[in-house]
Amino acid sequence: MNWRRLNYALHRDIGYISIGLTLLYAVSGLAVNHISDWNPSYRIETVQTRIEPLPAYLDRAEEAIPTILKRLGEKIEYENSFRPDPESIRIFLKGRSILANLATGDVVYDRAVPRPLLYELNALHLNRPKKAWTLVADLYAVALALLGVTGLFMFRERSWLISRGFWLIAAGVAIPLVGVLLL
Amino acid sequence: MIEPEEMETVNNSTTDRFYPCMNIVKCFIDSIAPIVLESAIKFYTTRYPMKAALSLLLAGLLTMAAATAEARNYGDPLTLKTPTPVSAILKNPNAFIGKTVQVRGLVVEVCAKRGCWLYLSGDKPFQKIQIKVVDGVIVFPMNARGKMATVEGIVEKLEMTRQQALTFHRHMAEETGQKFDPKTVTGPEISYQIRGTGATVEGL
Repeated sequence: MNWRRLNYALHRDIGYISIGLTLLYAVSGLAVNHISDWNPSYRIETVQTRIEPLPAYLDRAEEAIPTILKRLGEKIEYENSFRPDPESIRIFLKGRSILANLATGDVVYDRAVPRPLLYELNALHLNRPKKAWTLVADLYAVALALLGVTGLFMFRERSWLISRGFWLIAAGVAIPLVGVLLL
Repeated sequence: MIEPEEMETVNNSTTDRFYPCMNIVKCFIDSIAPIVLESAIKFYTTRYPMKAALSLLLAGLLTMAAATAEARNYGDPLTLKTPTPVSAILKNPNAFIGKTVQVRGLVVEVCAKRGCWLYLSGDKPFQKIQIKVVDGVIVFPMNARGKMATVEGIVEKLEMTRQQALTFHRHMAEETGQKFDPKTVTGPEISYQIRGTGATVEGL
C-alpha cells in the first residue's frame, strides 16, 4: 500500500469512527454556545400560588412546614428546608422546591427539568464524567488532529498551488488566525 | 396539590420562543425515534448478529460512562479535617481571605446553566455563602439542591460598583430562573465567596 492509499484509508476510517462524537460535540456545541440566550441543559419551571399567611410562625418557620405542605395538598414529606430571609422558608421536596412567604402567603414552586438528550450530550461535552470521558475526549482530539493532517494530503493535483484544496485549506487556517489577530 | 406535570412553564418560554426547532426535535425524539430505533435494531440483530453484539457492548460502555456523571465527589479530594462554620467566615471575612477552608451546609441554590456555582447555607439562620468553581472543571447538578455538601476552597473578597452589582444580580437571577428587581441593588457591594476546589455532595 503506497502512502497515498494509506493516507486515504486513515482519513476515511478516522472520519467514520469520529462521526458519533463529532455530532455529539456539534449539537452540544451549538446548544452551549448560546448559553447566554437559554439554558441548554435544564428547563426551569415555576408556578406561583397562594396560601393563607402564617405570620405567627415567622420566628419558628420550620414548625410551619407541615402546615404549609398540608395547605398545598402535599404529603408531609420533605428533604430539607432553608430560611433565605426572615419572612420566607424554602422547602426542598424530591425534585422540586417550594419558596413560601409566611407573611404574605405567596408560594413559588420550582423545579429543573433536564432537557431530553441535550442534558446528556451537554454533560458529556462539559466532561462531567471526568476520568473515563477525559480519555475518550483526548482520543477524539487526536483523531481530529489526524483527520486534519491526513486531509492535507487528500488532493492529488500536481500543481497544488492552484488547486481548490489548497485554497480551501488556506481559508480554513485563516479563520482561526483572524480570530487570534482580533483578540 | 400541584403535580410537577401540571406546572406551567414560565421562565423558559422566552427561550423556546427563539428556538422553535427545539420543539420539532423533542417531538421527533418522543414519537418517531423509538419506532425507527426499534426497527433498526430488529433488522440489524437478524442480519448481522456479531456486529449487533459489538454495538450493544459499545452502547453498554457508553451508558456506563454516562452513569458516572452523577458522581458525588467533585474536583480535588477534600484535605482538611474540620469544617469552618460559615458564620465564622461571614463574621470576620477579612481574616479568612486567601485561606483554604472547608465548609459544610445545605445546598440551597445551584447555577442552572453551567453548574458553576452553588450557595451553601450557613450554620445560622438567613446565612449562605457562594461557592464558585471554574466553569467546566466542576459542574454541579441541579439535583444537588436540598442536599448536604462539604466544600473546600479559598475565601475571596468581591468588590462591586452599583453597576457591577446590578449586572451580577441580574445574571444570577437569569441563571436561577428567578425574577430580578433592580431596586434591590442600592449601591456598591462587597461580598465574599469561596473559590471551590473540591466538594462532596451527599445523597446524590
